[in-house]
Amino acid sequence: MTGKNRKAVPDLTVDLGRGLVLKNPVMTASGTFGYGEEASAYLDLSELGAVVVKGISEEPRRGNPPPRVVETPAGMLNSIGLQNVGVKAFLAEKLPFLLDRGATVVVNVLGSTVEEYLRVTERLSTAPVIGGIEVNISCPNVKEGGVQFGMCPDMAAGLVASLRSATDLHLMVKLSPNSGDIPGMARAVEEAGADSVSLINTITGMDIDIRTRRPALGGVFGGLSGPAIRPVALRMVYEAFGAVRIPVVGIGGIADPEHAVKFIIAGSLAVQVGTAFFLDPLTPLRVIKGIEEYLSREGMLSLADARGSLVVGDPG
Amino acid sequence: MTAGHDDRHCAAPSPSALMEAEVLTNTEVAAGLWRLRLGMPQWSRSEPSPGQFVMVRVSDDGDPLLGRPFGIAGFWLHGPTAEMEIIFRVVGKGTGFMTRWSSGSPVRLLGPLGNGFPLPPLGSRCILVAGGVGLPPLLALARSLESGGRGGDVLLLYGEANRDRMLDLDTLPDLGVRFATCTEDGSCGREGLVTDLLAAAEIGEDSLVYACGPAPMMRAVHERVSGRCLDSFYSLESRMACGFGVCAGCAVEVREGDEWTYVRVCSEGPVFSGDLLTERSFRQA
Ligand SMILES: Cc1cc2nc3c(=O)[nH]c(=O)nc-3n(C[C@H](O)[C@H](O)[C@H](O)COP(=O)(O)OP(=O)(O)OC[C@H]3O[C@@H](n4cnc5c(N)ncnc54)[C@H](O)[C@@H]3O)c2cc1C
Ligand SMILES: Cc1cc2nc3c(=O)[nH]c(=O)nc-3n(C[C@H](O)[C@H](O)[C@H](O)COP(=O)(O)O)c2cc1C
Ligand code: FES
Repeated sequence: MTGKNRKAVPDLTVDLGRGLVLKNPVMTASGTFGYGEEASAYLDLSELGAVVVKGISEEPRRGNPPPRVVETPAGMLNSIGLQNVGVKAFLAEKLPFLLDRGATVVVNVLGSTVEEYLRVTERLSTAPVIGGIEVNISCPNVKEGGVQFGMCPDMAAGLVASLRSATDLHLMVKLSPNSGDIPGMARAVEEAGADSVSLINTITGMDIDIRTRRPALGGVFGGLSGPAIRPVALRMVYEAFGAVRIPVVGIGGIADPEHAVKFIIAGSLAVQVGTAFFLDPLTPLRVIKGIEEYLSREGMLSLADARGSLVVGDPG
Repeated sequence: MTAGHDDRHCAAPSPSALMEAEVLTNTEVAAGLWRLRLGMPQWSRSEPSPGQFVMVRVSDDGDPLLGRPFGIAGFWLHGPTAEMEIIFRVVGKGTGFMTRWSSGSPVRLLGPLGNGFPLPPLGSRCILVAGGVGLPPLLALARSLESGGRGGDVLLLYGEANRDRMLDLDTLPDLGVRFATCTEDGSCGREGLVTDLLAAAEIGEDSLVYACGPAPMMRAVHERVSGRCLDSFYSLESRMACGFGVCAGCAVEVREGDEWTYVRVCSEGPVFSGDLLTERSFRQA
């Protein structure tokens, strides 16, 4: 901070492949940013790397009964239950607003069958202004007895291969931490044609009200997010980075620039901010600023210099 | 970020959308009930309307993680600076921490948030029904009607479990509206529930009813006054993660034609017209 050796401003641009270029590595995480309308009261959407919108299905979904959120130590559980407006209303009512505000838009897609994912993806592919698709594979496959796509590499790969043949949009596949084998899963979706992987989605958990002896959440189980999951997410990002050549997008408990930098050192080319956005709507902008300051301080000219720079073993 | 739970503070990270405030006073005004007065050196938004709330950051170190929603009980602008009053009951970790704040403690908050109470048309009479810590937003409404010259149209009904827990309304010199109180054990005011006070009040087609309190109380008010007054409004509570409409965590069921839908308490509410609410809306609140 002494001002000696003023460094050049580092280049924060990120090219995730297949046309998805971000002006900086910080996106908002799906389900924590709505469709950008409320958020735009606080920040300029065009300053974000990208806006990842709430997961979109073919038809609108009402979501789970309340209570839908409960706080846990350094985190929270949610059972929102994929409430969303459906792809038709998204394209007609939500996307125009985001584009008008200059946002790079990544649409999180969900479905109960491969066919539903396909139909949503095809609809979105008719809107050429979308930056990319994030495939939420943490959804139960009703044709396979409700097993989540993201729990089984074959099922995930089959889904991604179908989507690959249906769209030229960037396909970011969002991995679930509930699958024990992150490297295997990452490789399976890479081979099936994914352009990038993002991780982690929430970790399944639950809580109980001991007075009523009822689950704390209307949906019984919920997804754990926030600082509590950061170490797990960091480990999984590091594993994924070692397993695939496509870009890795780090997610999980990022609330400060230092957290984002850790994910970048572990191998992320970009990051997403989720739960921390609830605490302060300017968190993503603070993270962008802090990453830039870090690179500058370390004399790095671009993100590529820091990405995957983890030193393991004897520093000698 | 190791601000800890005491009053030591590290500079707020920048940029931030949170407002910086400083505790002016924080006093226990009844058993477990605290009155927190906050000074804001720079108030740049519009004045909050009665029924709006703020999300208060209780800690900077992630425990507790989420902001806590509190109704705005009072608000006064003095040039560029402002003063805000929050009245809170200690029910858990976050509110427990808040009792440690004292004069000079820095506090950060987001808001004002949500939609407040629609103001009554001229010539109508207002009955404000407060159960326990549902009082604060109704105090804001009473104060606002009083300062608009309409204090004479207001009757505030306030019920608590017992005298110890009760805020003494006589200690609020600027309240200036008629009020009646009751306690469940009869230790202060009439014995009974606030809905008993409501039953004794005159309700007509020129009456507006405003309610805030525990869900069973609001459901009872809704049952009693629906169809018997001009309109009724309820300030609902729900678990909140963000408070500004992005997480969909605060959903509550409301009527939509012959169907039903979920709306967000933080952004479509917290105040809803009785016409929208069903018995299930209160069960979930
Ligand atoms: C719009 C709105 C306005 C509010 N205004 C006020 C106010 O003016 N004064 C006041 O004292 N309280 C108010 N509340 C309730 C207040 O937000 C909670 O009491 C507070 O968040 C509890 O925090 P805690 O950490 O102490 O409790 P926790 O440790 O989080 O929980 C303790 C207990 O409180 C319950 N609880 C937690 N959060 C909520 C919640 N949001 N709503 C209902 N119950 C909850 C839990 O089920 C638990 O039983 C309001 C809530 C909302 C949604
Ligand atoms: C309230 C809430 C809703 C979410 N909804 C979705 C969703 O619709 N689709 C999805 O892929 N992930 C969803 N997520 C997961 C987040 O995008 C993110 O992966 C996770 O919360 C971990 O990041 P965080 O710790 O920064 O929040 C949701 C998370 C939260 C807290
Ligand atoms: S609390 Fe997040 S949408 Fe209402």
